[in-house]
Formats: sequence, C-alpha cells, structure tokens
Amino acid sequence: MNEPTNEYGLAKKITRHLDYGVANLDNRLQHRLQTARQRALKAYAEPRHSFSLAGAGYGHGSRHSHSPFRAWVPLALLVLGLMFVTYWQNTQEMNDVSEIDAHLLAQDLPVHAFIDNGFDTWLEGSSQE
Amino acid sequence: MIRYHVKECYSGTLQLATFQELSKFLAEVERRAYKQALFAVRDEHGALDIVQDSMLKLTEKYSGKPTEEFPMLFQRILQNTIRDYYRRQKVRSLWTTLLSSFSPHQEEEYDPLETLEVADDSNKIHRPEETLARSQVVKLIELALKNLPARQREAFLLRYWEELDVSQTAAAMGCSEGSVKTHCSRATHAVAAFLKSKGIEP
Repeated sequence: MNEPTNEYGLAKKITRHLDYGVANLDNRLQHRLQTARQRALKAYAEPRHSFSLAGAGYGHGSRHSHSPFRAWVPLALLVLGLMFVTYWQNTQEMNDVSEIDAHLLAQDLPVHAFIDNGFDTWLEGSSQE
Repeated sequence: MIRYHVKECYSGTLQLATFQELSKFLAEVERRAYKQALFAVRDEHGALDIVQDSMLKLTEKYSGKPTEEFPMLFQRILQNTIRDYYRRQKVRSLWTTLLSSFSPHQEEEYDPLETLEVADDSNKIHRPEETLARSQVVKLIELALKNLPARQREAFLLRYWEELDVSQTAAAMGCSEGSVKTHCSRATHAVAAFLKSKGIEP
C-alpha cells in the first residue's frame, strides 16, 4: 500500500530542500503573493457587509459565496409586488362599484327610471326648455 | 481540533474565526503553490496569476467548508487552473506560430541552465558559502522538477510536498491510486538520478 521506505525518505529529503528554497523566496515575490492573498480574501469579506437576506441560514457553503438562491430574490420580490398591485386594483374597482350602487340607491328617483327610454327623452326635452 | 467543531455553528464571532483560518491557510500555502505553478508554466507572471486565481476561487466558492478540506480543495483548484493556463497558452502559441511565420526573426529558446547560473541576491544569510551551496542544490532540484513530465511532477509535489495521502492525491489528479504511486516512484528516481549526475547526493 505504502511507498518503499527508502523512496519516501529520498522524496522527503528532496522536499526539505524545496522548503528551504520557498523559505528564502525573493522579497518582491513574497510581497506580490501577499497582495494576491489579500485580494482573494476580499471576496470573502465583501458579502458580509452587503444585503444578505437570501444567504441567511441557507447552507454551509453559501454564506459568503454567490448563492444561486440569491439571484431569485429580486424576481420573487417583483412577483410579490405585482400580486399586491393586482389585488389592490381589484379591491379599488369593487369599492368604486359599490359606491356607485350606494349613490344610485340613495337617489329620490327609482333605479328603473335610469333605464327607461321615455324618462331620457323627457329629461332631454326639459333641459332644452 | 476545537476549531473544526465550533465552525459548525454560525455566529458573528465564529465567522471571523473562519476568515482567519482561511487567511492563515492561504498564507501557509501560497509560496509552495507559486513554486508548483512556476515549475509547471515556467513564467513568473503566469504563476502569480494562477496562484491568485486559485486563492480567489477557494475564497469565493469554498470558504464555508471545514478547514481540514482546504488543502485538498485548494490543490484541486490549483491543478485545474494550471491546466486552464496550458489550454490558453496552446491557443495563444498557435496564433503566435502562425503570425511569426510572417516575421523574419526567430524567437529565443528558453534555456533553464541560464537561470541556474544566475546568483540569487535575495539570500542575505551570514554563511555565504553554505547558503550558496544549498541554494544551488535547490535550483538543481527545481530544474529537475521542471523537466519532469507534468503528471509525475504533479504527483510528486502533491504526495510528498503537500503531504496529501495517496487517495487524496489520486482524487486531486483525477487518476487511480496505482497511477499516483507509479508517478511518484518515477519522479523520485528521476530527480535523484539527475542530482547524482551533477555529483549531488540528496
């Protein structure tokens, strides 16, 4: 299962030399690697300061990453908004109709007078006079 | 060990600990990752780009994973990023070859021995002879690794330098455990033989 001991020992000797090389890496390269690391870590830090409704409690790996669920939030909000507007418009319409009904019923004239053609003719003739 | 258990919970303070762990992990691994990329692509800027891309991918996609999974995930990402770089280079070199056929001058060939003989000014340790001897051995080993077939080098570095076990190395490389052992054995013997040919006993 394992490699022969001498082979493993030899490989470890070689990698110790590599470790030495890495420990004495050029200062300029060390600085560039540090900058690269800081840039990469910004990707972790940024989502924590932003609006993160969708990420809350969603899963282990999705806290700071761009969760696919996050993309659905604006769409869901839009659909909810449209549903609210439609509901509000229907309610308003019903209120308007019931207001007209109430107004008609509260008049002195009976409701049939408004659909009677003779009443319309009499009304026009009397207004011309 | 405790840090792995407390990471399961979510709270403000624990998130900060995870960030610190990730930062610490990247700081530990970045230099070796750079060398791995450099052995593979032989270009300083390319190697730095590869390391930055790999660190970014780990941070973006896997920062919520347990810390113990970081080495394996990072190595997978690093190897894939190196392969992507190769692919892009292949396409680029195809265009370069096509275009250079119209130009009169030939491009200079890369000679690794030139870099071998360049003195390293960054070493400012008190015993210069010892430092020089050691850095020469390091350069020879790095040269030997650069000249290995890509899969052998990859297996050797993952298994012995990154200290992944055989199954993790196989998973990171996308091959069988048997192949990992074969690649490792060939790589080790090739590097040792190269050093011997230069009169160095590793």
